[in-house]
Amino acid sequence: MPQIIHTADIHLGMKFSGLGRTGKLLRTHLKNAFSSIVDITIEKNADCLVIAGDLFDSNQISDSTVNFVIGEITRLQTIPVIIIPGTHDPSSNPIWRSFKEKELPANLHLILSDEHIPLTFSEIDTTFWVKPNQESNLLESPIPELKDKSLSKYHIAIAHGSLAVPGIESQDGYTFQHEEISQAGFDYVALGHWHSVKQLNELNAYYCGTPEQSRFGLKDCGKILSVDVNDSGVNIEQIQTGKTQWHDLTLSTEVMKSPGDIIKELGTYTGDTSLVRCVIEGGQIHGVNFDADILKDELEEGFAYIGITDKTIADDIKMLLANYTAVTITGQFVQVMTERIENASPDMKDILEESLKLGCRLLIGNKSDKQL
Amino acid sequence: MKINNVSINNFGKFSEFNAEFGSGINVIKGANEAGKSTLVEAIKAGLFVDSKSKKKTLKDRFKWGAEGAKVYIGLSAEDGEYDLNKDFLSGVQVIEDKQNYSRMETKESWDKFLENEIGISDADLFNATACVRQDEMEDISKSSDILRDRLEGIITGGQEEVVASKVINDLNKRISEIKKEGAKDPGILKRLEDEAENLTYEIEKLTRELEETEARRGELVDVTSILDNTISELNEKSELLEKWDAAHKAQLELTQLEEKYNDLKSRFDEIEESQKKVISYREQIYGKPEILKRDIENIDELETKLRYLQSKLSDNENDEKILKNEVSKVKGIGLFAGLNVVNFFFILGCFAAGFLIEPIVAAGSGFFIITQIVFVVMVWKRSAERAALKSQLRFTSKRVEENKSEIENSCKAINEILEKYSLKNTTNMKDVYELVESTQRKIHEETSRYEHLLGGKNQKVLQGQLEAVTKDLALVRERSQSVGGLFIDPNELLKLRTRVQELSETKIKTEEKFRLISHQLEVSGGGAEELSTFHERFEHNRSMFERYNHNQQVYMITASLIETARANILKATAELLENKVGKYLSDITNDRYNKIRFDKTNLDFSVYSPDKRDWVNSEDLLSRGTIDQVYLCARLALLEILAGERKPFLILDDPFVHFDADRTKNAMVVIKEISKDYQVLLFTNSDNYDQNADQVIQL
Repeated sequence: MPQIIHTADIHLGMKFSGLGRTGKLLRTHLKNAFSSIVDITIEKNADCLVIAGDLFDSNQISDSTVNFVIGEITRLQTIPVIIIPGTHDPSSNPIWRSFKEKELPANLHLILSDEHIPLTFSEIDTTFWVKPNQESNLLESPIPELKDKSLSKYHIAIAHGSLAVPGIESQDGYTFQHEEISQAGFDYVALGHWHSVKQLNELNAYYCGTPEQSRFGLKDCGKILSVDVNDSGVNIEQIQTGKTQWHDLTLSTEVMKSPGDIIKELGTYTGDTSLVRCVIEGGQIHGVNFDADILKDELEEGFAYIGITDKTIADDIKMLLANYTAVTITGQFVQVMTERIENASPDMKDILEESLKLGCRLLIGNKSDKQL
Repeated sequence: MKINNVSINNFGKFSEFNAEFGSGINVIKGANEAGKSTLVEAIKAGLFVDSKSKKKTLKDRFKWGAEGAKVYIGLSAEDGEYDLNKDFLSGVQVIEDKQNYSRMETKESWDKFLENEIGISDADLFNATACVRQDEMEDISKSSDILRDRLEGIITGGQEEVVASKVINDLNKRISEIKKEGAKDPGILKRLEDEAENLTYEIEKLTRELEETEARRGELVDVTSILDNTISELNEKSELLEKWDAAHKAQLELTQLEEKYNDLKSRFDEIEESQKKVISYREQIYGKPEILKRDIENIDELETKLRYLQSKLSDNENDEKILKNEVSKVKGIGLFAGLNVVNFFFILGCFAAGFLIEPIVAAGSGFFIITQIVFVVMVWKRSAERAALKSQLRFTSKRVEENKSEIENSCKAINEILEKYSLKNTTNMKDVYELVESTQRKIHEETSRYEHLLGGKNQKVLQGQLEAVTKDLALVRERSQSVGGLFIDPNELLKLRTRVQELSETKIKTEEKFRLISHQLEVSGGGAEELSTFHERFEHNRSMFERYNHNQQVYMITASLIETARANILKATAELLENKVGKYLSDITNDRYNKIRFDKTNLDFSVYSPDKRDWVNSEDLLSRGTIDQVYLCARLALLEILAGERKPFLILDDPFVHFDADRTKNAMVVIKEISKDYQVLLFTNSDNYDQNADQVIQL
């Protein structure tokens, strides 16, 4: 009964847009995740490590990363490693060319074409079936056909693509239908492409998710699957590999009455591996000269990344005008600004509204910016 | 609000000083250096200086040798009596509310107290309004900002803290920090631009390097392909060359063996032929006598001799014959000669007779005599000749005989030799000799050739060699057949060898190139990821640039609109101030100027002259005295505005030094009027104010 470690979508060398200097750190975490996968495979004494596509993020991969991957695979000694191309690193990706130039370990089975398919391992009585992705986006199914059941007792498919969602027409390449899997007769289908762990409608087909989270908004990822294929089906164990924590926070000024409350709340997420994207919404915090940029700068050291967006809205203008009549500078300011906003172009309107918010904050707020 | 009394300890030149003041105008008189200014300073310090934090700054105002100073001010206001104590040694500062028995000890409570009681809690503002010092009338304009803030506060009814200046300053500072240029401490935008420039450079550099790496990778593929093709062709050609070489070698070997075989065979044939010839030669001379060369030579010699003797004999016989003839011819000469001799003598007698008788006859007889002499000589000569001939004949005959004998001997010798070989004649002998000799020579030649062909070996050996070569030849032929039995054109072989050589060299060079490119690729490092890092940083940089640019715009608009709001407010402030100042100005200048307008930003002013019916600019047209008059009015107006219902004290430290007598008089009229509501402390060294004083205090 074969036991395989199923992973995919490691996206080594990934470029992280919008995260500035954190990108470098995150690329290191991706490599660390790959090392963890190898460690777990050794520790579990698994029969095979399956990487179901998108090991690399693009063709912009350095030789050192390629060497790193080969080095890690070499660590597995005799445990076979099956790598198939994905949508980011299809067979046509030049990265495989440089891969092939290296002295590859004997346990590596890089399936870039139909040449070595099916791949049968008699010692575990298992045959692996692959239909490698040749290009990044072809309108064809990535699910292979089980052509010969007599080759071994167990048959595992490895594929990289998306399950077609009924009613939604997708232009994405490599989509497949539910029936393709349910009718194919595989003992297990190791899928890649979706970054969250997902079982397909009670079938023995799983997306393993990405072993290290690489963007905000993902759930149930940072894991790999340990799969025991047996006569009665499969046993799946999810194993945590991801080290980074990605937090998407929305803090309301209705709850966060002061910047201190915000700092206290954000403080619960601090850590070297913590990435926080925080939106502060609601009305402005009264009596405080709150500045999201300054807050971000002050908190930055405690996080791998922190982004704070101030989406608080300027306090009700009528209320402002009532409290700060036009006889006051603030009142005058609000009055003049309101008039300008009414006549402004849409682009300018945003800036003016922000100016209104800032002006009110500074005029009404404390005298010092530092009094957060 | 009124200062009742002031006590000073160790402040300035005072070790101990006490003074009491009343309502109205208090003229405090003293000569220069009497301590007027010290007293003013002490009052201000007692009111406004924080004894805790400003101890050090006040230190030089302590009396020489003293560690600290104390100021006490007793105040009375509408709501009660207060004692203000400041100890600049211990830092204690306390206001005691004598009516409520409460104490105010903090800076904040002091400020609040002063704000409530006199409307001024700030020393600068106090200097700009209620405290007019000599030559410092214009302090009002120096403090325009603070005045403006205060006026704003007054105008806006104190509903908000007046922070507009601070906000605008703060925004301008932020804008400056964002946009300022300069290499030393550039603003954030410049720093971001510089960083973007560096990042762009790094990105371009890395991109180029990556392109080079990609090119190298492509090159490596090409090189690998070339190497594969080269190795493949090299292997193919090497194999072919090996085959061809073997074939060629077999071919050469075959040729050599064939040559060797042919050589041996021909030698062998020649030997056989030679042997046959020798046999044939031997057969030719079989039975022929072996004539000694010496005998041939003897024969030749004898024949030569014989021929010579025969020739000699013939000659001698001829000579004998001739001699005989000759001899026979000269046989009658003797007789003839005798007759002649007789005749001679006869003639001789005749001659002698004739010579004697007749000369002619003698002459003829002489001729006959001479002829007879000649004739006689001739006969004598012939006789001698005949004798010689006879002698010669005898000799010749003897020679003939000898020749005959020698010939006979020679013939005998010849015959002996011929008999020795049983040959008939010498010709036969010579022929035989020649035949045998030539045949022997041929045999010898053939034998020599044969020997030569054998090369010092015997024929069996040679035959063995031939057999061996024949065997080898068969083997090589077989081998040649095994390598295809190809005929290899040496030129083609050379071409192939050259090609293999070229391919080997190409292989070495390509392998070197392969190693080099592989090495370059290995050491090219984390270029791609590094590029991503730089891209991310660049993206972040641009996002920050956008953000700060946006912020800058927001700050600028905010500052600008706060300024606009402020200007709107100040308009009202300025109008109030202008009205108040205009009233005082009209009084103090006796209506020479009756209106004033202020610059909204710096409180610079121009005044309206009814006489001139025009506005007069302060800097251009007004005398110093008039300017001081205006500032005095402004101060009084400001104090009135700032204090509102509160009536603070007014300190005038010899303010009218630039005023002439009329201006001073007019000013004092106004001051006297004001002193009804405000306590005035007028410090002077002049007696001119005594007439207006409610109290005069001499220092």
